[in-house]
Amino acid sequence: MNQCEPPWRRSVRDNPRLLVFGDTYTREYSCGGANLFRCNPLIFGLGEDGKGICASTDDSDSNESTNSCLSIFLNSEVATRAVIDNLEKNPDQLASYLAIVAETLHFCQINVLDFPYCDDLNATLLNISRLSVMCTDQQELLSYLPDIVTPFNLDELDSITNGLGTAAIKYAEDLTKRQQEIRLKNRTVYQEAISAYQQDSRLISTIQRIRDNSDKCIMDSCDGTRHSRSKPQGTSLAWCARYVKFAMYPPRGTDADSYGSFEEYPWGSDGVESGDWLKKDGFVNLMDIPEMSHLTPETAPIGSIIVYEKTAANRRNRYNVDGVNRGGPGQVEIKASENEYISDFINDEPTTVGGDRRAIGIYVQIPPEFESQIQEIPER
Amino acid sequence: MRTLLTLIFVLFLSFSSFGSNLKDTYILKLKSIEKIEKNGDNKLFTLIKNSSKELSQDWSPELAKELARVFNILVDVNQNYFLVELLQPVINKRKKLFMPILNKALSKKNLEEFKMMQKILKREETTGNG
Repeated sequence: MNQCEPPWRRSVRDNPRLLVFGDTYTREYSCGGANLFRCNPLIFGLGEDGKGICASTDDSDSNESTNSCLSIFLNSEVATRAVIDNLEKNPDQLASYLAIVAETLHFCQINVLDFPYCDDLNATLLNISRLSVMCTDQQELLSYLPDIVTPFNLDELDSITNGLGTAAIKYAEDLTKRQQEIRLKNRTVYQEAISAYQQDSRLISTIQRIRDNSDKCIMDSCDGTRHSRSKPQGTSLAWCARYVKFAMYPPRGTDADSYGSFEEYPWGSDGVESGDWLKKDGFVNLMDIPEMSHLTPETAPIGSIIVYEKTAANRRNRYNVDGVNRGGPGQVEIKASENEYISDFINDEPTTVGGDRRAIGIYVQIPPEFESQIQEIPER
Repeated sequence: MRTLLTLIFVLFLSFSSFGSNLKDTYILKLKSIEKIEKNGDNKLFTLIKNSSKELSQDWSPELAKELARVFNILVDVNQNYFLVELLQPVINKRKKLFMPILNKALSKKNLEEFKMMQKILKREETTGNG
């Protein structure tokens, strides 16, 4: 079943971060002959053209290609040195190499009788890995090891890293701890920033305006309905985005703070697209921030602007929002108080319409003085 | 081979009985609704939507009748256009079967409301909501 799988591609673990075999075998790596095979450059070196050495292969014998690669590699006086030179200068590649070594050791342990090249291959890989680990910047190597989490135990890790296993595990634990601490700090900063946003006079004015407008027929919003000058506060006219924008960008003569003037009003944009103009006005989507991604419309902070896509939208109503295909026209509303979600009507719960609307954004403005306090989550 | 066939048969039975259980559950839940507080809520909307979906996949006159009855009570208290969307699955798939039942269940006033809700929905789908 796996015979047609491209060489060098690992299929053992389903982890997108584990790209340890380096590049995938593509046409670019072709050696130009039907019976020629490009050996994995990470394992057998870059060869003369920098892409890897070419070896003969035999379709009827699946061991042939590995045997050929290994044979060429072992018979070369400079190949081993070249691989070590490359790995010791590139700890990221060395980390990937170590994962391959671990995996190969496992593979050969299980299939030792089927693959006679295993003894030589294991010895070669272990030799190169130990020498490379000795010669590389070990502190930097440690920072890459958490990326290659593999099912090997401490003894195996010690064996292939020449005793670096304990330090690698401690590094990974410390990294996790550092990441958690920063996430906690960031969450506190975000919560303080949201509190400041909630006290912003522009937001307070906006909430007051949208509440006041909820029983009015703005522009031609009541056309084609039973209402003319006013409407019930709990009844929607299917103009949610218009009412939210109207509250944030009120017409001239409105005596209160606002996010922009009526001239800047983002005409035409529908509910599902609201993130576009909100971002232009400095709003951030809390759902995009890992520290705040636990929020839902129910738990969203008061003052947040909640954007929904329509889950059962027909084919004609598809929108491209930030490169993602979304159902529209969708919904946008402001969480005015704990049980008050306002757009062109007042709802006492999020307008998810029994799951027909799915939240794709919970937007707030982060005041600049808080932005500088947000720390990046370290990957190493 | 015989074991495999038996397994497939048992699986088929369990799936069909699962579908039947689902339908019975929706009928029971809908039957228990006699009055709707305030404007209804997302829990009720979800029940209506799921019943509508179930009907679109597996027709049941009893479920259709209960769904139409509850929808009429809902329109008594909530005339928001988006409620029509909850019925879209069954209307799209089984319009001829469902609409006569719905038309019969809706009061004269609510039938007019329903038409208005459909009109607003159509307007939103063509011109947007911004």
